[in-house]
Amino acid sequence: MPVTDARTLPDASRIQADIVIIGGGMAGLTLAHEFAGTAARVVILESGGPDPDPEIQALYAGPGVMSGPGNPDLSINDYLAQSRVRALGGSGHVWGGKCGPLDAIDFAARPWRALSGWPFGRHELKPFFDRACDRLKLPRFPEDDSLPEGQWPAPLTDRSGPLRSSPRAYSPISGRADPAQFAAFRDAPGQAANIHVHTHINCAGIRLNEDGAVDRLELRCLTGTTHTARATTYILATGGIENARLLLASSAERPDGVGNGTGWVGRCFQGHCTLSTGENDPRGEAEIAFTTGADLSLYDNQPRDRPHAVFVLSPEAQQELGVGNCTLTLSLSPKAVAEAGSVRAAVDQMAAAIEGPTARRLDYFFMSEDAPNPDSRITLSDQTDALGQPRARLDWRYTQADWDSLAGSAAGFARALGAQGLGRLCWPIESDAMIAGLSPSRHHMGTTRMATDPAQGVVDADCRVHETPNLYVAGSSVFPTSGLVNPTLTLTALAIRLADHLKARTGIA
Amino acid sequence: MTMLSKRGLLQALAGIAAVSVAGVATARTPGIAAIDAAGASDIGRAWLALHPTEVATLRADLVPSDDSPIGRLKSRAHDDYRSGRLFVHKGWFLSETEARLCALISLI
Repeated sequence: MPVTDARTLPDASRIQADIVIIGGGMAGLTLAHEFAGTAARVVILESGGPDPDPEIQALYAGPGVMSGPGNPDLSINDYLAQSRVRALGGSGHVWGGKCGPLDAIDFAARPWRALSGWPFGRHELKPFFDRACDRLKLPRFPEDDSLPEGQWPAPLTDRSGPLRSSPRAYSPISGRADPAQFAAFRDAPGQAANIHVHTHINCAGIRLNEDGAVDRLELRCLTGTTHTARATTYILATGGIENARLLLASSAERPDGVGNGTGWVGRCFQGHCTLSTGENDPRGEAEIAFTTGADLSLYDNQPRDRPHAVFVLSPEAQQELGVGNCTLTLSLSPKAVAEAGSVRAAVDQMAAAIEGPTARRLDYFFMSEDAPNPDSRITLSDQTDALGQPRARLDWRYTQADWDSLAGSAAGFARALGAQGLGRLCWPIESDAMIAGLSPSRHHMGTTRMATDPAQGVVDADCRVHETPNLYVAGSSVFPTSGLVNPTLTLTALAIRLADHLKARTGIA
Repeated sequence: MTMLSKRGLLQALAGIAAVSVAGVATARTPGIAAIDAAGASDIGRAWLALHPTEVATLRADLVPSDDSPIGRLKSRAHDDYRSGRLFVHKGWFLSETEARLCALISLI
């Protein structure tokens, strides 16, 4: 089927399909890849065109604030527009391609972490992680957290201690790193006979019938034309912010929004933030004085042609410390010798005296999993966009539990490094300077959380909206907890799993 | 508070340093005596401010009573890290043993 620029459609056109996918980003395109060549008539509705466009991107703007106890609020009004891309291919246009599977503990209900626990474990998702790796042209990740097959530098850690190494790899399906391969991934579904991609068309409302199922989608183009789409099955795949915004804004039949009977839509927004300090930061530098001469090249995250590793804490250590998942990523760039008379010089020399020669001091950045917080949320702002739709507002709220987890995780890494005689760690950011030290990623998770109990989430284990039998959600908004891995591999795995579910449910070959 | 004599402290640290240079860690290990005194004193004074009554115990605690003082310090430091006995100064997570060693240096 051709790709149709919906701005050329006559006003009041009716789009009909078996499955309508709202959003042509990484999740939506993965679904389309899975349905390509089947008997299902599939339509993708994408707001943008093949490449980012400022006028369309402006639809994503909205107010945002990041807050946390003991810290001044931080305005992040640019974040909603700058942390995602509204175009066919979605944020894949700027994605760097880093991938890894979530850790097994990320799926577990952890008594020390409120609202933790997925409806299934990592083992159930393993076949879909493998297929997602194939789809994204990655080596498959073994279930025991070892490195993918191949000859790689040796890890510094084994699987017995609190300090572990977790593998990562780069996908070439990255708009930033390999535009040609990304374009091939983006454009392939539109070449399938049963897939029809409509660009430049926006979902402006999900309308329900009297049974509470989706009856139709109201569609608008920036040119002013309006259309409708009808299908047997609808899949919302517009990203971790927009999925929630669209459900909340679809209030014609449900004043609080579609799927929001228990009030969870938009809540528990989680992102990934990196914490680090720059060189000569007056607070100190986030660095490790390594006292081992071992080869650390496995931890170099720059080469794209081979896996690398980050440091994590074992599940047992996380439980003992009462912290969430966390990672420590090294920079292998050599640092200057510590200045005489400084604490750093003393630490270097003391560590050398006790452990052996200090081989090097290295910078790192640190990431700690956000605690799911119902008050950290997407709501509808009083601003409207060019389509007359309410813009999203983001209140990204940290709690004392997050600060405690950050500090506890830093201590956990320091303890693990020290106990094994590997080095000494400096973590100079105080709890009253956390917000200023955070660098938000483009990972948006948790706002349509998955839960077996309808009272605890928006979608069920099959990613179906509890209250709406023919509406599914794809993307990282369904993650109940975020883990500390870039979410694209997991959302790709979940999209493949959803495609399998729908094929089985509908009998599509 | 019982203050240690400067001579006694120097003897104590020299004892550790001498052993380390003599054989424990060979020439690759610079030894305790090579620790930056100003930086260590910064750490040590901060530790002593929290533990003012422990000055008298530092020497007996840290001065070598056997012929492997570095090995003993190393074992104690590792055990501190394992057990979470940490002292944090200017962001550096140090073992209690290392902090006490810095305190001893600060008294010279």
